[in-house]
Amino acid sequence: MRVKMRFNLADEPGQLLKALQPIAEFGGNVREISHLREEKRGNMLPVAVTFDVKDLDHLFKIRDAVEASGIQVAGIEPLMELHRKVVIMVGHVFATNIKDTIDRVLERGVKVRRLVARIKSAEDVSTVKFVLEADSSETLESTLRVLKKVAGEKNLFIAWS
Amino acid sequence: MRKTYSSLGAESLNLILIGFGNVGRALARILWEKIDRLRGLGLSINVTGIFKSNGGFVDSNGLMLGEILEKSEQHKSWVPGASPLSHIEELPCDVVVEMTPTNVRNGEPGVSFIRKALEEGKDVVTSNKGPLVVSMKSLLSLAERKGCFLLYEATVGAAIPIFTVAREFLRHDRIICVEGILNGTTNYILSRMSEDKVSFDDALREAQEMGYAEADPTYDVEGIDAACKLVILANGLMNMDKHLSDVEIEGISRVTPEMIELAEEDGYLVKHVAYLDGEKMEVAPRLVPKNSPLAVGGTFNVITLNTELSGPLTFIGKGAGPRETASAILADIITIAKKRGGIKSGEHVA
Repeated sequence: MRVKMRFNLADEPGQLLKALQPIAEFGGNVREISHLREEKRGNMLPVAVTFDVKDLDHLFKIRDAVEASGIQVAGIEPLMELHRKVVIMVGHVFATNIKDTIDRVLERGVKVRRLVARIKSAEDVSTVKFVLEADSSETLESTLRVLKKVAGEKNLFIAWS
Repeated sequence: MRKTYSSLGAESLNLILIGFGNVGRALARILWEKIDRLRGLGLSINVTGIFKSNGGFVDSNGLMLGEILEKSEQHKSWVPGASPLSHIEELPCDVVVEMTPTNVRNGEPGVSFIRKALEEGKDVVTSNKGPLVVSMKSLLSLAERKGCFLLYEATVGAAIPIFTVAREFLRHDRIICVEGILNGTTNYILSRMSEDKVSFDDALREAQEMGYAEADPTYDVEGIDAACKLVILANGLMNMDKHLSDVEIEGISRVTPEMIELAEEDGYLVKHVAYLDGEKMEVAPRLVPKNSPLAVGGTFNVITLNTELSGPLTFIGKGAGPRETASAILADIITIAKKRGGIKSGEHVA
């Protein structure tokens, strides 16, 4: 999992290194460091470090080590790693109740980030693209299984990424 | 104890060819053209019988391939009505090359020819998917019981040496999943639809005019051909016992130009992809990133083996064509000769 940890550091040399050392020592994989200079209060400079940890235990171990070195942890937020899948359907996508199709995707905790449709006429088949996003590839795979089933029921033809 | 083929030219490797269509004729031509190259490997090949559905060319001393290609049934060795089933026993023969048309319903007549050859203790090379799709496990175990080789490199991806690579280079490794484009006709149609914005019907008609697609294109377009190849890959690479009914198949006839357009807006191509892992076998239209190794155009085939130790290995080549298929058959024949001691170890055979 990826997390963003915020510190309030005294704006003087060596402070950032002091905060990073326990993260590195316990095997946290640092991805990004940002100095939030516009949020500086007096001599205290907020810094956000984004890094990967194995699990919550791993994260707490790192937090405790940072605090033990005298650095104050101002906050921790989990960062979602977004997975994306594109699905294109051909057929009478609207006539077969597109709202029901989308509801069955949404109930699995997947977001429809974008929907693009090409419609010729009411009688013709339409082609609809769904760009789906979720926080895990497993969720997307299980959504795809549902979509394949829905497509089978509604005689829609699908291709997916 | 079965004999080994001599590398000293004292003895020839005797072949019987069953099936003399495009592939059979291409093989005869290559054997004729490459006679010196093969002799250079210490391999002298004699074809003692060539069988078609209505008879055969037979000469126990070895047929003159050049003459037969030229004169066909006018040649003096032609025996109307001759059947390979009786001649496999009678003619000098080490390897039977089975190249009859594919029949995925019951595998015949290929199954009977292969079975007969193995029962007579002959090594077999085939380019025919039918017998393998219908009864691969039982044919392979018959071959094993009889101490014979049954090689089938030409059945999938023509000259792409996928089974040879697995057999010779990946025995220590584990193949986790396989994905690829296994049918040149559907890849041609989808490539044309994507590159030149033509409709499915126009691309299909063009493929038929170019000779890539049959008059009845169902077998290719509905994904049956690719599914047959996927079954052979599952059984041959991953030691499974799968049949055509195990594959989820979706063809490409409902792909619209709008689908291709919407896919391209997000950086994808629509490709007819065959996929296989320990749980699932599937042939379906998929959205493949434009920079993916699977994004090959024209009539090309591509196969990626995802392995535990070697990572992904991708092979691209012409998936069809008489000469490419015949080349894979000849490679299998050479493999057998080598294993039987007919080619010196370490000889350059490429």
